[in-house]
Amino acid sequence: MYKKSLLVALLLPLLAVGQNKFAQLEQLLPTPNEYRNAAGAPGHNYYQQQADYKINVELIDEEQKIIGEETITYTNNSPDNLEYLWIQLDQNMRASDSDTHLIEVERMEDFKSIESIKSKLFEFDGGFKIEGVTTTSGRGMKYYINKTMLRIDLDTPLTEGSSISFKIKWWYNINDRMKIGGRSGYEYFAENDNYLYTIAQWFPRMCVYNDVEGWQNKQFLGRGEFALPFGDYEVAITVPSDHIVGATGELANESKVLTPAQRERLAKARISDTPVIIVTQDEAEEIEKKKATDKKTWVFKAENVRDFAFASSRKFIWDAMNQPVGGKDVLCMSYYPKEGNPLWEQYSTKVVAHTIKTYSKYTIDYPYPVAISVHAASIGMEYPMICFNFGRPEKDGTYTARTKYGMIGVIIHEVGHNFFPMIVNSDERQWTWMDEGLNTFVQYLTEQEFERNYPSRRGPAHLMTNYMRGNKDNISPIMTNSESIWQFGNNAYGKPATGLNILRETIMGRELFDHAFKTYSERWKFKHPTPADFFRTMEDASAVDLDWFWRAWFYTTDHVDISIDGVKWYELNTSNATVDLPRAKELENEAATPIGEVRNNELIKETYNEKDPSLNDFYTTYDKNDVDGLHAKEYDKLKQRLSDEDIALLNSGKQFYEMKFSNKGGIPMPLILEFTFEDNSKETIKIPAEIWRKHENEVTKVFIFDHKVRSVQLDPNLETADTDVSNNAWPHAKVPTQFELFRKGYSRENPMQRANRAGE
Amino acid sequence: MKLLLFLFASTTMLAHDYYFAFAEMAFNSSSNKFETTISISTHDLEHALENINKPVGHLEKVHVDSEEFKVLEAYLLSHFKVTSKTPVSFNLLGFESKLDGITYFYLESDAVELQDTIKVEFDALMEMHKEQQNKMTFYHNDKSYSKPFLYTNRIQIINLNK
Repeated sequence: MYKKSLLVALLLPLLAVGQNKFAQLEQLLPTPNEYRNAAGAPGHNYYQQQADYKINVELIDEEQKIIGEETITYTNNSPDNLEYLWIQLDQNMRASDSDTHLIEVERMEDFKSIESIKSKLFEFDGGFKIEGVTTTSGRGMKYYINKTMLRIDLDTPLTEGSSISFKIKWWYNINDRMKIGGRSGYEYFAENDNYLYTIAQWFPRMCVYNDVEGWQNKQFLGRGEFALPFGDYEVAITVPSDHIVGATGELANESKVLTPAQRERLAKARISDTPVIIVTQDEAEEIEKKKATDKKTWVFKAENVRDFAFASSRKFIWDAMNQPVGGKDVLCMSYYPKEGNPLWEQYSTKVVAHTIKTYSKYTIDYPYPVAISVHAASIGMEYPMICFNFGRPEKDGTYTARTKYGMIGVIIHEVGHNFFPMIVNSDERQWTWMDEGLNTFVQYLTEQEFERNYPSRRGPAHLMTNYMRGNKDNISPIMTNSESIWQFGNNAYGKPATGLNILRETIMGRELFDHAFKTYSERWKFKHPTPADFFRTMEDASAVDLDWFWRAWFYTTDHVDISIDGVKWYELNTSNATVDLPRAKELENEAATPIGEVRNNELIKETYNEKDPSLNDFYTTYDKNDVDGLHAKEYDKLKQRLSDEDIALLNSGKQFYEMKFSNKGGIPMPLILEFTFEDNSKETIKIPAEIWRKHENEVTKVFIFDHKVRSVQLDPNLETADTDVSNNAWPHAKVPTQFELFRKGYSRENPMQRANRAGE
Repeated sequence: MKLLLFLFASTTMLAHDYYFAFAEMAFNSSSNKFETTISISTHDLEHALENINKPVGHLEKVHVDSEEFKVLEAYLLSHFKVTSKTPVSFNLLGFESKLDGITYFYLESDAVELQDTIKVEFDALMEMHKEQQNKMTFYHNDKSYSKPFLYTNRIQIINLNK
């Protein structure tokens, strides 16, 4: 609506109406206590358990099998007596009687392909075969396996501050990751009959016991990932002697497993700021032609980690470089087969180095001695100090931009997981967003520091609008358990990352946000945070009440759609009739003439009074906008009552715009308004989201300027994830469809297709 | 009743996390043609085509004069159908694959008479992903009509009088 009038009176204040979008979160968050305080920090009695492992494992290459034996030393730092211990058997998700497949909802339409039927009928027993649970002296312990969880019943409760050591022996069949999927497994290369193993969730691991969940023993169904206590690891990995092994931690027996040449190259890499090749492609290609029959044992040690993974293959090329962080050296490394080149040799290790440097800036200094990226087709998966990443060029060595940026993106993401959840150790089984969302957010920052205008897939607000305006039947709030989430990637990765980006760019500002985010990371490094700890810390460290944002963005499926519903334009009069009345007359003359009047002027050749002037009187010629002799005197009298300041204000020519906004999507957002004036100058005004605090559906606001406004644009830089920008402009501006944009630059091929053709 | 099961050979389905496709359609009253843009996850579409044993490789490499382009057109036209009194025929004019992982396909219909009621079936990728959620927005006379399409609800009616 567009209306022009003269403003004489002051406006009535708007009436307050009760609403709850800005209600505080107290009812939703757990009560602060001695373990987690109201500021979002660890409480004065915060505790966490410790699980140390000594493991001997053998990778049987001929059978694609893992055989292992471990000694776990578990320390109870809680104030509770533990009658039993819970241990995770994640590989049982691949057992033949696993619930994972049973709980899948199916219809006949799911069986339209041969592969889908083969997949359903395919039988693979990848579950753990537990051969024994004993004391360190070899005495059997009582245990019970409940699917993916193993309970050890203790003879006497484990009391506060005490430790227990016990042994578990097991084996399992490694899954073919390329056929049946999985976060870990093997890829088979038929060319030389070789395997590339990326091994994880491969040993029975302690569950977390804490003040929030007690034992976190929620079954592993395949989606919600892991919750793990910190501990120290010493792992001896026996593999064929021609394999190269990369693993969580530092190699502790370098002299026994590396050649002198490899050791010399590794020493150079430790002081090099560019990658040094330790095993070259030529060497790897030569090694993969044969198969060693003897074995080697690689020993790795890692301190204060929550998990341990490794990769092993005779196909590995290996390079490394040093990256100092916080005064300490970090050895950044990559392991990849020739199929990864040329991309991997050029980018992988440098991306690892860039990632730990950039994440350290926004969170905490990377604390571990190594950071590793391993090539693994089609997946991205994270573990402490080591991760498995996709990105494979064509066989001819060429690759698309999507492959390149996809590879760089996934390496940043998976290396970034060292910070969330490997160090800031949240419960993935419960809340996927706490690691994936926060990590995706810092991934975006890191990508943008890697290359200007890096094509990030997630982070910027406008990339999330399609998801958020989707059908709400198939969208979950972010605060949903990991196993029950619809639209996993958008829900747990994209939306939280976008939300943090909006907080940083729009609601809090970079300085406040960065300080608060870093505070959260520092407070919870090497600890177990919960959502409430994050929400509270972000507010505690910034003095910004974000309860409304957490509520709307994290607890609902509402979306952002704020509309400019109308603009009324007022001009302040001068109260001097000799100025105002001619101006009023001018406006009346400019106003549109009703059609009847237009036709009457044309068709009525002469009115009665034009023909007979005796019908005329004072009112016949009276014009309310004519200035008479009294007006100047009246203004003089008025001036005597006004101050110079008041008179200057009346003569200022101020322009008033009353704008009406409605919140159609449900999520409150700041009103970011870019005003363009008649002289083409611009001014941006940002109204905090709290304008919606009492009127959640509709608000009005008056803007006062010295100049006339030509147009207004709401959210001009697309920073609020507004899902419908067609109602963001005044006057209404038609947004061209994607099709119209395509037509304008019509071409039957995209730029990359053209470049490919030009190169043919 | 026993139903016959038609099978397609396929390759492995890989993990992914996008479940959306969008169609934006307008009626060009000058040409009397529907103009449609379908945006869809590049990665998902490549795998959907592999799954029906019609792999086209990387979409960026598909040339408009190639057989692969015809495969793309056939797939899209079989999963995006419009009826305006009678079935509407579309042609795929071209497409753009963006680096953010989304490909935009541009379709134009033959000249038709616009009816007050338009039936749309939009089930791209639903044969692969139950969570697939598609949405179409039809723009007409400064109004927009949005309809969601789910695995369980693949056909929607747009009434321009409402």
